[in-house]
This record gives sequence, C-alpha cells and structure tokens, in this order.
Amino acid sequence: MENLIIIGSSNVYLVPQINFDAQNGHCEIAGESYLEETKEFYDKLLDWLRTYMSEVQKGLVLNVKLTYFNTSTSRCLLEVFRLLKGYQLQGNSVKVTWSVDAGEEDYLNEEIEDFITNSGLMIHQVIN
Amino acid sequence: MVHHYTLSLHDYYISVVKDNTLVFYKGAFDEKVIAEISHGIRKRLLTHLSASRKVFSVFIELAQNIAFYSAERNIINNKIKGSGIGLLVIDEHEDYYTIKTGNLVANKDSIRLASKCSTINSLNRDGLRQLKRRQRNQPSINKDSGNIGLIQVALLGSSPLRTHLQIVDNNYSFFSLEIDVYKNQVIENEL
Repeated sequence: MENLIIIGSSNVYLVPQINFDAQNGHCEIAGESYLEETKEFYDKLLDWLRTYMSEVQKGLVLNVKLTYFNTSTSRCLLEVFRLLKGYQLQGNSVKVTWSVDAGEEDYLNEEIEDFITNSGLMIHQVIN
Repeated sequence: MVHHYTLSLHDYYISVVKDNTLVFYKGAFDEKVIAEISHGIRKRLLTHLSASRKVFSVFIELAQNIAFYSAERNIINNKIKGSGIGLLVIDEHEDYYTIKTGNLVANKDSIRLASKCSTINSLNRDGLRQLKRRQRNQPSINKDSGNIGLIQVALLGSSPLRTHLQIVDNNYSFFSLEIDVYKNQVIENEL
C-alpha cells in the first residue's frame, strides 16, 4: 500500500502537510488548514485510512500538529477521529496525539476537548 | 451650465476611516482578497500574538460567511459571478480590536439568521461549546447546514456578538455584526 504524502503550502489557502506511512501506520497532519475544497481534501485522508484499515489491518498512530484550522476543517477532522474510534472499537491499536507549542495550549485546549467529547476517541495533548 | 460634483475623497477618508482603522474593505470577498487581508492581519498584529490569532480566526470565518452567503454578488454578462460582496472593518483600540462585517441577506433567510444570533448570545461558554459540538455532529446536507462559523466567532471573541438586521427593501436586509477581541488575556479574565 502506498504512503500518502501531501506537501503543505500557504499561499491563498493554507494546506496542511500530510505524511501517512503505510509501513508503520504512523500518520501526521501538520501545519495549518484552511482550504478551498475542505471535504475533498480530507476525503483523501479518510479513503487512505479506510484502505489501510481493511488491507493492512495493523495499529495506527496519528500525530496532529495543526496550529490553525477553520470550522470547515473542524468538521472533517471529527470524521477522521470518528473513523479511528471505530477502528479502535474493533480491537485495533489506535493512538492519537496533538502536539502543541508551549504557550499555545489555551487556544487549542478546548478544541481538543471538544473533539474528544464528540468522537469518544482519546487525544493526548503533547506540549513541546 | 453643467455642474460637476466632486467627491472629496479626503472628507470621505476622514469621516469613514478613523485613525485607528486597520482594515477597511468593501467588495467581493474572493479568495485572493481574503488571503491578502489575512496576511496583513498576521503582519500587523505581531505585537499581540494571542489576539492576533483570534482576530485572524474570526476574520477567516466571517469572510467565508460573506463569500458564501452574501445575497449580493457581481453580475457580469447577465451571470452571477464571483464571491459574495460585503463590508469589513477592523479597528484597533487601546485594549482591544473590533471586527465588524456587513452584507445583504435575503429577507427569507433573515429570520433564521436572527434566531441563530439570538441563540448564540443567550449561551455561556459551555453552552456555546455544546451547541458547536451538536451542530458539528450533524451531517452536512447542504452548504448551510451545521455552519458553526458564527458559534466559533462567539467563542473566540471577548464580547457578545453584536448583530443588527436592517430591512433594505422587500427582498433584502442588511446584516451587520461586531465583535471585540481583547489584547491581553489578563484584562479578559478580569471582566
């Protein structure tokens, strides 16, 4: 199965950096997310994850390193977390962390808590 | 004899754009305009990083709302073209920033909008987060359903969402919105 790599950019829109590794199940979403076609973008991530879940069937580690995301992204991120929760409930190993720079905790605290509440998935906040 | 009326841009400049106005824009909120203004916000508000983040976030949400939902659009060659048209003002005060937006909405949509604003202002922080979680949960049937942008703006701001709907004619009203973002967390907590 191929890795999913999307190069981040920040011109008119803010495209996050995506590195999803099919060999070790390590996935990373980094940077900022404010997109023209948000659903289309995150559907790529969801499709890759579903393929990994059905073909590779091993553990998944997701590290989120987003410093900014708009509300459209928020909805899509919730879908990602829900998908991972579903996979976890099937008995697979799933670990999700959100890396936050020291000083930025307050801004993202509530967002992360709300994702946890909405998805039922534990997201560990890691302060750099 | 022909009389020429000359608009004094200087008078306009003084009366409409105050000394403390950081951004003033009236026009279509297309992607390039939003990008330029957003870059400008990040550059100009460097001295107040936490407020800068919030003003940036509020701006993106409100700008996208105007782009998608404004009832006013350009008509080129008899076709509706481009992003929604609206007005944006960002003022800087000693202790806070104020973000103001305005755009036309169809009267048939204005009741729902007024109700949404009223709900948002009736909730405390926990209530807002609950509303946001509930709305975000719902599947997006159309582009309008579950838009949590205004809720997010209310959460980011340091003041209530000040909104006003003014009937323009049989078909349209003008929706205006203001919110403050405090520069210092300390002041915000003291209030």
